[in-house]
Amino acid sequence: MKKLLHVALGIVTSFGGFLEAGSITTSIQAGAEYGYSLLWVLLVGTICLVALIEMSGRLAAMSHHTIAGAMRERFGLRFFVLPLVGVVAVSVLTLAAELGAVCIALQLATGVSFQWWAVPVMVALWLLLWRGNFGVVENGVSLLGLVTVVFLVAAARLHPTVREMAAGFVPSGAPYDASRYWFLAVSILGATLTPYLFYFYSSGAVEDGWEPDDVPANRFVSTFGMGFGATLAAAVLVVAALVFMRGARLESFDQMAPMLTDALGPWGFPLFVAALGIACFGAALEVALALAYMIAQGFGWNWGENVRPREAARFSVSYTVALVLAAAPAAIGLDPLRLTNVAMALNAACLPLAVVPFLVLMNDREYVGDRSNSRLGNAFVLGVVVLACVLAIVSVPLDLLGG
Amino acid sequence: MLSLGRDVLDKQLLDAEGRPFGKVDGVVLELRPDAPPRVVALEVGAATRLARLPRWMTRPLGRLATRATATRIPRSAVLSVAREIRVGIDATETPAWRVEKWLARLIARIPGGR
Repeated sequence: MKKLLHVALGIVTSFGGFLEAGSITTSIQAGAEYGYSLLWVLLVGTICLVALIEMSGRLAAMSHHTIAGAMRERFGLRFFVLPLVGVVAVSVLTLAAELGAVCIALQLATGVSFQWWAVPVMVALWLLLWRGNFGVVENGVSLLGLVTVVFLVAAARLHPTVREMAAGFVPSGAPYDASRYWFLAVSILGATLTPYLFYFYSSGAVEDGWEPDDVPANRFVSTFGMGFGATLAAAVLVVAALVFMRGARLESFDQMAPMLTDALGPWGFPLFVAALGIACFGAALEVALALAYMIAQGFGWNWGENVRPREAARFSVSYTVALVLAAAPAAIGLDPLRLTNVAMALNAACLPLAVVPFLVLMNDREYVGDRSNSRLGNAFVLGVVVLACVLAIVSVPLDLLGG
Repeated sequence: MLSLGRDVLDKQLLDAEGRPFGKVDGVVLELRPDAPPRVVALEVGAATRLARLPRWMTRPLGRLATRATATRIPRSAVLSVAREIRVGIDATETPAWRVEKWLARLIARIPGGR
């Protein structure tokens, strides 16, 4: 019974916690500019995410190791610093994007410019982490995150044509402006496959003391939690495809904010603001913690979601520094939307660094025993992350030049 | 039979109280003329870590790097080698704990840090 509750909570929290700044903005941009035709990228990214999350839970259950800890052990310090620096750097940028989006939500709600919100939001995030009991906070925020269901409701009320949507799931090339199309494809992959997600998941699994017999439950939670979550991102894309003029390039959150009004009337705007603010706040908490986890695990320090700052000083200082760095771009007025786009593309570019050594671990019997990866799983994940990286390297400069 | 590279280096260290003490950053060997080399100590600390990294990575640290220290744990203090390596010394009494101690004192002054 307790296990069942645990599984249910896992699914509900990954559902409520799925959307964040990257997945919301890239889905909106993709829908507005290309209709349904990028849905297939979201599908590919989601299958890959489910696979990676399942792997990180399996690694924890079989070896009691987190990804970062196992990577340091298996590959040694000299190699480990590369993924460490890479993932930490893109995660700080991701954190800045989430924090900036929370500030934008507050700007939309109050009319006070987002710049002024950077420090208060940073302090609020920091206090929640600093006062401990993160497990409770995280589940609470993820439950509040269920407000993001409004995107599904809105998509349903707009009565999209099923046949057209289905066609979007068939891989296709760019109907026009190929460099922008592939840039958005990369941004979707980067937003879906942010490395902090699976590093964070393995940490939680180790803290909860998963054992080999938790492997089936893990498979269930990761598949359904992430699978359901991704339907929210798809719903955002569908709503954007239906309400914005096709090909409209949205350059600010102000243009995105009215997207729910067609479907939900006067409730549309406040619900969009609430969904954006809560989803990004929850994501910011997770990214800040994931960053500190990765550093602490790599160097063998004390870490944990409920440790008191004095008992894990270096760990607590790590997330504090990350939060201060991440608040800076919004505080000096850097556009959070642009920052999100860049962060998601860099997430994609850095994927091989974060994922390839992880795949090696998942095929090492010393760590996962007889539960190593299937060949198909290896090939699929490797294919997607290499594709994402190559696309990022090619399309990001093109988009920056074109834009 | 232990393999130093696989079973010792970069493994998690736990101190006498079970506190996470860091990772095994280095292994100190004694070379003997007529016998195989012998492990005499484990090392943990930034100085050992920095020595393992290529110079282009550590150069930007400049003078900061010269202040790094390393703690030697004599072989006799090693209690067990399994998924983690347990040693019979108090981590908080070693130089490896210097930064942690300093930050903890700082944190104690911040309200709510306790």
